[in-house]
Amino acid sequence: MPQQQRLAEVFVELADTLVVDFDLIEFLHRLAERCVELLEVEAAGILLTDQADELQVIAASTEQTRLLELFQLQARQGPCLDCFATGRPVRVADLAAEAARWPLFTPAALDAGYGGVVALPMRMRERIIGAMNLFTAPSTVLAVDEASTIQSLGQAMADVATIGILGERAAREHQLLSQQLQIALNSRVIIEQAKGMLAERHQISLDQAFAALRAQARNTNRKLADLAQAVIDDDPAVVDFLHAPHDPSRRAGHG
Amino acid sequence: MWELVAGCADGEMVSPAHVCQAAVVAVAVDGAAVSVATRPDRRQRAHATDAVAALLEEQQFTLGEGPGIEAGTSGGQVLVADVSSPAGASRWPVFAPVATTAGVRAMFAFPLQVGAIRLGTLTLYRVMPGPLTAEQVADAVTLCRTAVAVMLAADRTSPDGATSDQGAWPLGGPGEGRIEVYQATGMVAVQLGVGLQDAFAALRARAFTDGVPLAVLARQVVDRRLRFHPDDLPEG
Repeated sequence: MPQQQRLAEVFVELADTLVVDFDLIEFLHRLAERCVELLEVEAAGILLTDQADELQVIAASTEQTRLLELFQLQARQGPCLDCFATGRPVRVADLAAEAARWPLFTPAALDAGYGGVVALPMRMRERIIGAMNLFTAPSTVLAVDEASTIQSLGQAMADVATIGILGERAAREHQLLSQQLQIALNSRVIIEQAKGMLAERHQISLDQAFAALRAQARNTNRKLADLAQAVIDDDPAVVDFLHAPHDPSRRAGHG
Repeated sequence: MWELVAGCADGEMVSPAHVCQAAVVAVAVDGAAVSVATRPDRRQRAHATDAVAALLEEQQFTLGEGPGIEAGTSGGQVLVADVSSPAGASRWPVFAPVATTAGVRAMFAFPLQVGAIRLGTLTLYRVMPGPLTAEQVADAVTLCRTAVAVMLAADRTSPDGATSDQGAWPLGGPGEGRIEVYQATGMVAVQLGVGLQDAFAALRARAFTDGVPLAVLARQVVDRRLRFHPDDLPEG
């Protein structure tokens, strides 16, 4: 489990990101990555609810399409949906032993190489805006104290994220918040469309396309969705940013 | 919600006009209009449930301002409990008095979009001021999805001019709102050298002719097992 020092750093990093007009999607990706690093889980994903009360994937620790699908499937069935519906954490250490609980989700999760799952609500007071999902490897049968550390630390991180999303202004105005979440979810779609275009244009994987988008967004201090829109619009200022091969470990395959 | 829209269509092919009718019933507003975003090669088309809704659309388009225009350009909802309020008047100095004179107080504009594919807006109005409830917003969002699905399906007609039942499913229905569909849309856009909307139409047309679910076809594109060629595009 994480060192005190690193843990403190991550919380400071996350809190630091919560400035005015921050990039929600980038923030949530960073959160998912830090969960994997600190909690030593295999994968993390974050689902937010849209205004029609459906869960949608907004960020994940990797862009593996298979993993994203696994998160997405939970809009209909799975620990994330249960967690969102009840507002309570859902923890299954051994998915194989509880296969009957989610007949669609469980085989898909096992097939993708995950053995256990923790779903944590993202809530502030009575308001639930989504759920965070952590997957563990099948071989590691977690000791009870380990599992509860993952749960409590994960919950702390989910809480930080929730505070970040709600923000001061949005928390007061229910409708404003739900409108912002709706825009963020559409932004996610724009990013997927731009990833597809970049992957095809440069014959790279979707993962690499996303990494390039993120790197460029960071370098130019732009929001991911804005940059994605510029890619789609063939904005001459961004069209060439991938031409310089900055990643020597280019692979043809993808997740 | 889909049943409601289909009921409004009463056996006809579902169109944005039916979505407007359903919106009036479901969201409890006095009128609704769908504006189709102008593409360079097309004129603006609008569907309105009544003369007031039509006037609102026309005036916004002419004046270049208003909740619908704002929703279309920003990609976010513009929900106005009272256009005649000082805030409304300062936001849309020309349009707000026009709307108020027409007897309209509340206006709610929703973008019709799938990511970067911007199709237009759904605008609802009420003569009584006041906000929408969360449930009404949820219903309106569901209707927007239906409208988007209907509009995208209308892009793609089979060779004999008939649309398939498959096209009638709302987005987020069987496999349409899947991540790989969005990714594949971007890839196909580059392969064909067309915009996202046309790329999506090509994907769906192919799924239809091959009799394959859209998500399965998208998967093949994403896995680079299937490519689209400009030669495959039908004329027009």
